[in-house]
Order: sequence, then C-alpha cells, then structure tokens
Amino acid sequence: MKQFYMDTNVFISRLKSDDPYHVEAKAIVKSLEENEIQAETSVLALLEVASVSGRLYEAKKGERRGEKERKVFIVRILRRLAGIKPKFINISGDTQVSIRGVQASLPSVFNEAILLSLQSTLRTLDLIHLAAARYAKRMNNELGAFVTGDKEFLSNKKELSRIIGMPILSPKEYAEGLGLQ
Amino acid sequence: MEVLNVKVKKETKEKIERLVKARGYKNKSEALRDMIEEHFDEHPELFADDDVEEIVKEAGKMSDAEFDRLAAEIFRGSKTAAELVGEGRER
Repeated sequence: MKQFYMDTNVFISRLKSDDPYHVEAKAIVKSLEENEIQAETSVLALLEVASVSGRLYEAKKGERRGEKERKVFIVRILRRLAGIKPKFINISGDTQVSIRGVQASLPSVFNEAILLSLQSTLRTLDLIHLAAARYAKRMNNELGAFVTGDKEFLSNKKELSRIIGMPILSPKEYAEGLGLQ
Repeated sequence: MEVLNVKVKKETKEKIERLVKARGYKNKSEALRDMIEEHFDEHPELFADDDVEEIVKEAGKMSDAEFDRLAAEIFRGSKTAAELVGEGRER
C-alpha cells in the first residue's frame, strides 16, 4: 500500500470545493477512505484543523452567532479527519540539551525542529511538520512523499526533499503519479 | 421571552438607569438583556464543561455528506486551503 505524509492543507483542500487542489485532494481522500493508500501526519494537524475551521466558521457566521454550532463544526471536522484513518505522528519524550552550561529539557519535537532550523529558513510550525515528516520517514521507510499545497514547501522542494529523505509533491503531482481520479 | 424577578442593590439599579440613558436603551430590561448576553459571549468557558458531551453527540449526528456541504460553505472564498492553514503558521 502506498504511504505518504499528508500536510494539513491537503485535507482542507478536500473540503474546500473552490480550492485549486480540490479535485486531486478529493481523489486522495477517497483512496484513503477505501484503504487503498495510507497517510501519516503530525499531531499538529489536529490543532491546525481545529484552529482554521473555528476561525473560518466565526468569520462566515458572525461573531455573536452560533457559538455552539461553531463547536459542533470543530468537533465534526476532527471526526472527518479521523475518518480517513491517518497515522498521527507524535515525536514523544524529552531531550536534554546543554547550552553554555545551561541545562534544558526540551520536548523532542522542538529539538528536532531546532536542528532543522539549521538547515532551512522555514517558520516555526512548518519546521514542526518537517520534523514530524523526517521522523516518520526514519520510522517507516515505505513513506513515499510529503504531499502539500503549500507554496513555501513546494518552492523549496529540492532542498527540503533532501532533508526529509522523500520527495515533496503537490496533491496534483501525487494524485497523477498514482493514477487517482 | 421569559420573565426574571431579580433583587439588586439601590446603587446597582441607579447604575443600570444611567446606562439606559447613556447607551440609548428603551428600558432597564433591554439593557440587562444586552449586558447578560454580552457577558455570556465573552465568557464561553462558563458553559464549557456543560456542553462538551452534547456537542460531541450533535457532531456525531451529521453525515459526512452533510458535513462536506457545510464545510464547502464555510471554506469558500478567495484564499486557498494552503493560505488558510498558512495563516495559522505565522504568515
């Protein structure tokens, strides 16, 4: 079974019918639901999905309206994400570091992200996704691609692919590569 | 609407009357209604524990197809999915 790392925006593209990658994201999610392919993603995706859906719901429905409906929407979108059965990557545990003799106990995911900051100029949460993807690839060599619609990743795909050890592909490239429609 | 009989201190009553004039409410009842709603809106945590179970139950009732229709409405707009997620990534 083909396996890939799924960036949060691929899942949102599936739900956003006017998104440039909607058609491909829909095909990818359909294949996930039918167990033809398998996705892994950072636990950060859960937080990002909750955050973006809550913000958008409020913007669309108005600040004073639908507080309960907004919560239902957030819970429902998390259930929708869980429905495609991704494997959530959590780089657990702490790493002890010493900086000029000052000891710090860092969540290991932060340590991995800091190490990646030496190799790329991505922003904080991008580094956490990248760290999760690199960790996932180390744990599972079958992981074949990092799929994202994010221009920041796609415009630096050559350099970032080398860092994480697998190609960075747009949903269109990935869906076409697998012949999904 | 429901009717509540509430006892308040004399100073509180006077403050409410001042607000009615200052904010142009029709009467004390309208002013209090507005203030209570405002307080509830600003402090959703007051009810957070009460409704989690109900929210999860409610969310479970919606089919994927129904949810996808609602999500399409919520996410519709000029920004791409990557841009919307990117906003949460400090961009």
